[in-house]
Amino acid sequence: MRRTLSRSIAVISCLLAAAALVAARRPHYGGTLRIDVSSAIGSLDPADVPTDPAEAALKENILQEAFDKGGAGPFRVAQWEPMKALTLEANEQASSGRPYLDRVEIRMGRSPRDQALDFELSKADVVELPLSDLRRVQQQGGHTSESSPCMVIALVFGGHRADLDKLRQATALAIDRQAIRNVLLQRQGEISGALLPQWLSGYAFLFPTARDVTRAQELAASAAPLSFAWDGRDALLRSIAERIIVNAAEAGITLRPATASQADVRLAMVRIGSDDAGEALKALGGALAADPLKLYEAERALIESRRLVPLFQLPVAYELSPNVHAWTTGPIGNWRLEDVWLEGGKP
Amino acid sequence: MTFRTRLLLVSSLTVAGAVALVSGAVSGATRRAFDRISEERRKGVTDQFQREVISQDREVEDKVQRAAASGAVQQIAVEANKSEPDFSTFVDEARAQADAQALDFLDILQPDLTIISSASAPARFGYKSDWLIAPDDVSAAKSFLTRIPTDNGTAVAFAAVHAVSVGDKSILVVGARKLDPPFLASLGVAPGVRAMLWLASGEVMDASGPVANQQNLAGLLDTVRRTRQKAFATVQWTRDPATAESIVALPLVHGDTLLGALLVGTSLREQVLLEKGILWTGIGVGGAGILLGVLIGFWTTLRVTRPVAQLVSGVEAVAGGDWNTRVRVQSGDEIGQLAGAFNKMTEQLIEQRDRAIQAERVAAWRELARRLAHELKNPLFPLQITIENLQRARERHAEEFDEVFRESTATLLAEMQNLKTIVGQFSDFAKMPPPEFEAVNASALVREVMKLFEAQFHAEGRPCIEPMLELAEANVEISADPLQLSRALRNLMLNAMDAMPEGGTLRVSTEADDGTVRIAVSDSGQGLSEEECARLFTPYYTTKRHGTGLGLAIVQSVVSDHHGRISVSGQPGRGATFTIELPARRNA
Repeated sequence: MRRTLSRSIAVISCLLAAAALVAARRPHYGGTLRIDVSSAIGSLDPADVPTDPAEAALKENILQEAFDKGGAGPFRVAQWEPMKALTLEANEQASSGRPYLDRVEIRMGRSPRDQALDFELSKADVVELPLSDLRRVQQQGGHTSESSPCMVIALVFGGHRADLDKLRQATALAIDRQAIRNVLLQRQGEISGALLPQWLSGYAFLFPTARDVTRAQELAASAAPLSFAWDGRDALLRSIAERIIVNAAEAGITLRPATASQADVRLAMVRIGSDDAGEALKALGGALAADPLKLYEAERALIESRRLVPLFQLPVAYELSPNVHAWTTGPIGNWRLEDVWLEGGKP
Repeated sequence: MTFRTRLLLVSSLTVAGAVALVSGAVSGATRRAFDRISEERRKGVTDQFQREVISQDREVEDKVQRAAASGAVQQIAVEANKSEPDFSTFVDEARAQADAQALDFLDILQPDLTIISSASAPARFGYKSDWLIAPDDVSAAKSFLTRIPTDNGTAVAFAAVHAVSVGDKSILVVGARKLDPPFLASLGVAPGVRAMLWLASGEVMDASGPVANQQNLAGLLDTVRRTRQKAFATVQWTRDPATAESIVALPLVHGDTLLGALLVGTSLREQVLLEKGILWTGIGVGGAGILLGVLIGFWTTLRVTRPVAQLVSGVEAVAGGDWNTRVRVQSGDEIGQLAGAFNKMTEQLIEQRDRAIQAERVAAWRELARRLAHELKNPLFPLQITIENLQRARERHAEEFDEVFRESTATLLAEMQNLKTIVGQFSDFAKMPPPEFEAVNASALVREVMKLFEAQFHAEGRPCIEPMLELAEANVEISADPLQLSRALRNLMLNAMDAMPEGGTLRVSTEADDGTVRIAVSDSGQGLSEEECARLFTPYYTTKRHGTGLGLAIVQSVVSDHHGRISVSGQPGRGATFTIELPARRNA
């Protein structure tokens, strides 16, 4: 009798636990998702496209969530403070059905440090995660999300120096991409000599990325110094730029920091604007082509004509609070908030 | 230069020299004392500074040791022991450790000095460290000086290295404290002491930044470069001596490489100001001493030279004719004796002069009596003869008496006239009136006088005399009484004509020379002996058979009344020249 009772209690406990587990994994409605981003936009006008890739991505995400499908998208704008904050609320009339979240609060212009503090103090549920921290956070068991490579880092050569093409080649050969990826990018992203990522074009591996310091030294022999600029506000770009200076110096190329307007060389980060290779290349300034071979030729021509040295393809990454579920990003880093739900809402 | 001035100068220079010597000696002694104190202070400051530096060294060692003991570094050491170590996640660890330990530089290195993580050059991971690190520095585990390339050039730093061993392999933690203005400011130096740093690249800085006028250190730094030993110099930074500093240079070397030098400057401001104060006090005291010396010298000189001046004044007065001058000196020294002798001399001179005058007067009277007797006897004797002839003719030759009477009365009248003339001349000499001065052209006067004699020069029955005038026209204006001077000239010309009984040349000249107008009357007659020249102007002295001896005496009297003088020169048979010198008229 006593044994039967014990078995019954055990079975009931298991059933209750299973039910709780099932309940926990079931999407919940309600709740407010708080997102911190470093970028800030001052207008919601679709025609006003920001030049900064991060701002352009943010705006595209907002427009997609709030204005997609002619107002039948998952959210609508509840409160708008240009350059500061945006509050979206669930659109009960959404064509794809009401989203799980009641509200989404997006705070703009938050520095990486502020975002980290907000996250630690539970003032934000989703924050941007620098790629250099991604591996550490993952090793520490943090919840992260990263997109496919959708940002390209490249050197852009300008000016009218006669030896610019030789120096471009020399610099490309001098850069130790592997060391940068392993250390500064913490093994995130991909080494690439192409503008479009491998997953998008399929031929990126054809663009050379090998390092040859000896050849670089030959090409750069007795070359005059080059002025070099990068966005100093971006810590990742800054560290990559500093490493490039060290690598270039090893090959005998002197890169001297300068302002962007006076620079011979600029380290730039460009966003892939579309998950269609042709459209993406067109957005980058190349020719629109459907045939992969022609697309490859077009990209190569674009790299040559613009005097570019593509270096890396990088994803965008976010750190998520444990109560955030179903956070995903599209291949080019776009949000999909309609599927996100928060633990603690109404099941 | 007068005796008084010379005496004053000598006494003043003596006092000034003595004061200057004393001031110099005091100043020199003060300077030596200051130098000694400065040397002791410099040594003390250098010792203290070196203790501070050693303290900083140890601090760097401690910090590096603490960084090496941190968990993160231990993790890196553990990673190093893996077969394929991955240091990529530790790339920022050096910066974190540097921040935690407040070190300017911190690198985490593999044993072959490949950078795992660098705080100052994070982009150099995977490259060899370019710090100046010798194998001994690693094995000694003690702080050392090193040179570290930076974006802004080269830094010199106190560095320490610590090996962290976990398992078989080890890593190195190298930390350094940059020698820069904040480091210099952190050194506990005494007031008035300044710590500076010279880098071999040429930069010189102190706690506030780059040092101005670095070129003033060139000599000291050259010595350090050459000897690599501690060197010392005094450097004046600006023209103001108070900016001077006594600087000790402590070379910073790593092996054979000279990295720079720590310069410990001790301000000499107080010393310079004190020396300046002493100098000015010396100058003030010296100046006062010199002034006092001059005053005392002046007073002393006055005391010494006053009797001498009185004597000089007395001598000048005597020379000027005032023989009654007496010098009143009451001192009993040589000057007093001299003054007494002077007074005695003047008294004797006066006595002798009085006796000479007396004798001369007696002689003059005798001469006058003789001359009077002679002059009067000459006409008296004919008078007596004539009267006796008259008496004899009356008694013996009555028939011839009338004729004798007529001739005798004529002779009597002529002799009476002679007597009258003689009396008149004496009378004229006696009543010579004072001159009435007016502007007179000496040459014109000579011409006028000469005209009076023109008729006589070539008169028949008289010897022919050739006149010759050599008259200056300029600057011959004199103040004179023309009548008296004309009379004097006439006398001289008459004398000259009398001296040439057989004719000759009468030359009269005038000339102006240095405020004096000279009138010379020369004849080519029989001339004068030296004795005659000496006695010629004595009254009643004459070389002529018929003369009163008053002519030249009158000339001398006139010339004397005109503040001039007359002289005569000549030799027997070669004529004589009378020269009158008269002062030229002022504003002529």
